[in-house]
Amino acid sequence: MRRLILSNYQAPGDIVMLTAAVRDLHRCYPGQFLTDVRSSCPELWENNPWLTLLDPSEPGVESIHCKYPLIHRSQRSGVHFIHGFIEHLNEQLCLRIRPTAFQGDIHLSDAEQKAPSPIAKLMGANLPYWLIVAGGKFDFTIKWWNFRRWQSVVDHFRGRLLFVQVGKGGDYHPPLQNVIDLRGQTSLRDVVKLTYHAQGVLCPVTFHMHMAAAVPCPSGAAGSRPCVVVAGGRESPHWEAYPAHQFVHTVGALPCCENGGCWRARTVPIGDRDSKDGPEHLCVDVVRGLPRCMEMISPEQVVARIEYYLAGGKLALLNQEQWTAASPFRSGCQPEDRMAAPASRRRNEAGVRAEQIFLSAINQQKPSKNRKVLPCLR
Amino acid sequence: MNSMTPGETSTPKAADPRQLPGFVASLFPLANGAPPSPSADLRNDEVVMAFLAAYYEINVRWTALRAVRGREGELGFLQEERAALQAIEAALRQRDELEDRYAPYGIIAEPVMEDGLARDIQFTFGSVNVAGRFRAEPVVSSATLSFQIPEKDRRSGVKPPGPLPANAVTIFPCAD
Repeated sequence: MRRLILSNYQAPGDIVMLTAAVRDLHRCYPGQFLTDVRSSCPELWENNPWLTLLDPSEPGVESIHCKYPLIHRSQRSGVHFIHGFIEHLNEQLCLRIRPTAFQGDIHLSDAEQKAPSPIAKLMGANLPYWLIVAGGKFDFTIKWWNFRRWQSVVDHFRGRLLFVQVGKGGDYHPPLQNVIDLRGQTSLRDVVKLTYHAQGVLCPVTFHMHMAAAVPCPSGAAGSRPCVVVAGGRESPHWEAYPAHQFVHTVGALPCCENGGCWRARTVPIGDRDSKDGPEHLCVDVVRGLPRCMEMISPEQVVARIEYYLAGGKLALLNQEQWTAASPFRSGCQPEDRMAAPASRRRNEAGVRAEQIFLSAINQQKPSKNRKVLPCLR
Repeated sequence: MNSMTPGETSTPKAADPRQLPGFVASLFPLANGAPPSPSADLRNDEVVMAFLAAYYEINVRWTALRAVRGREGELGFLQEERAALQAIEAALRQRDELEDRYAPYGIIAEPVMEDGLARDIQFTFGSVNVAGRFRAEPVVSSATLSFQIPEKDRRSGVKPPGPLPANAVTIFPCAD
């Protein structure tokens, strides 16, 4: 039996893809390998059944630094990221591994699966929620959408969907209003648990997109987790998108991403002395501070993609009681926060107040035992 | 292509409200928990001052609104309140414009509110990390380690490669 130590120290999203390769190696060659890993994200390997503790100094133990050079041919070949590490392992080990599932391979212990969700622990009530990621790392700022657009989507579902904002501390994650704010407060393992219980994920092309597919759904829930990805034109959709996700992209619609992703790094130079500030890495078509491919994606389009899942019966909406129960935990709901609220939200609140006044007046004018005017939910 | 950096935007530098007549020190917010001070990136200092000035203006106008509301029922109250609300809205829009302008550069200015006033602004910059170091700058650190090499492992005549650092005080026992 061959013994392998596989290593990779890239970003968490890359590691999620490596979990898939390890699973597929074992499924395609059962009983032929013992594998261990060295990676930047040990928490993503917890409870992984394919790992065996190996000592690199023992004779016969092979170490392989895992890469995915396939990405450089991804524009021309119709392959997904899930093939990336697999192809490299095939070359290194002279194998014919094939993907056996269109997702990464993240495992939770029985205790983790049985425990209430982190949100239920926080609020004392088991409410359905979506994870929202309204930013990302500083290396690829071209993936960011404007925070007001994320806010518009949250505002649209006010009272119906509860959003939990996550993001690594130190990265770019502007605060949103009316969400449960867990920015900078979650370990990778927390993200695994939060994703497990989340009914959906809303994000750019990021680690959380891969997690939405890789983390299993609770037993009894639907087989796949809804996920809406605001992608633009940086990555080719066939390389990044998962079948059950709504991947909102503009590839083919713009000259700069006509036949695939542009793979550029930044919208504007951010001055951090990284080579990614160089002109060859910058977006060539910036509109109002966004890459045109991201600017073309409106909040309404993103809302519509979430509503696909609603129309298909995949989502549970909050009732008034649940929404109220979440109020003390939602950002921007404390009186002292009000003056800092963004203009869009202030206007929204004014609209809600006007609606309440109107309804109260009209219901008083036309008293009827069995008739009442109710607001029409969009 | 937009190749400007935050400090190179076409907006004129924000005036420091502390230099203006009638400045109210208690309404001027802190920057990351302390009064503004020069940092590694001078362009960021201008951004900090722009946001502090914007939030100072919001605080001033919010305080004025509260004063007006304390006179509810007096002659002309509604007009005064309306004017104060409009002034706040204008200040908030100015803040919103700043947020939009600097968002592509990874700049976040998050107010810490207390009793309706912005007391502190927590800044995140694209160019530098929380320690104020340029994000892509390699971290260089040095350490001096001294340890005794057992007599049996000592080799005479072996010198460390390259010149010793000028301030090195360590004597390599193997080079004796």
